Amino acid sequence: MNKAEERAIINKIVAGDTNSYRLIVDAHKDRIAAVCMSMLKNETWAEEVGQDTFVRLYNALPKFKGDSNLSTYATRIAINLCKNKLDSVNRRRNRFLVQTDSHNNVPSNQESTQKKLENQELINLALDVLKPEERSVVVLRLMEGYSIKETAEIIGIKEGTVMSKLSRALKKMQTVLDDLK
Amino acid sequence: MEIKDLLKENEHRTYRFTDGFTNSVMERIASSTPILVMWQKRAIQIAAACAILVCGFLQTVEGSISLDAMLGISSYDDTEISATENLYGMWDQIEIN
Repeated sequence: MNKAEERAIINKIVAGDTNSYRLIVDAHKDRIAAVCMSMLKNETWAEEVGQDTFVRLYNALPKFKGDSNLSTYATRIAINLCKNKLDSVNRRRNRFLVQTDSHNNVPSNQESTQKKLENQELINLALDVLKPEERSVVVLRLMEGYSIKETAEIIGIKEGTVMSKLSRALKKMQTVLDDLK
Repeated sequence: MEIKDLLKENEHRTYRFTDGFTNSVMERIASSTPILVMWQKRAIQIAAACAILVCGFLQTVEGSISLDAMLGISSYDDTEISATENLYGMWDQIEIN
């Protein structure tokens, strides 16, 4: 779907043809799925956040001027929702860890599990140590192949900040991998 | 093992939502749209009722529903008002004399 076709469909939707929105969802859902899955690593959450993304995008269409790409706009919504989800999950997890800290006597068996881990699992482990914003930079730039400029536009930060966050995030991730050796 | 190499190997992995994803989104939109439309209609009805009330009030109190009446501006200009004041002043003078 090119930009002109997309604009025509958006105009139809804004005029009241809700059913045409199906075309927009079908055109962008795979990209959003990849972003949500890479960010959240949980299919149920990814599906939930994906749906919220498209409902929000629909509500925002009357205000969408077309300055940026619709795909970029949708990805921005998805990234923000993923960050919110991660924040709420981390808050809940921290509360749980504080409550159960004294009972945490399970031995660390990282050495034995290391052999079983697939590359994707290693990445997931390394991604786990990142803050939501650092994770979004890694996912967009290195896993989804967005340029530095696009990544900056989606997250709403400067290009220089993207590069510094990326380098900090990679160092953290590398430390996790080195610890597993 | 370098993290950059690992990420490079796993770049552009394809993930898909479930088959019913698009339908679920469309259902959620369809269920939220009537509520929005309903509130839009209700807002228009309230605005229309307010406009009728204001017109009735103006007609009763001001005797007119002109823009001046709505803005609370007198239909007499300053010259007319001062001329009327002068006239009443002259009558008062005549009565006193």
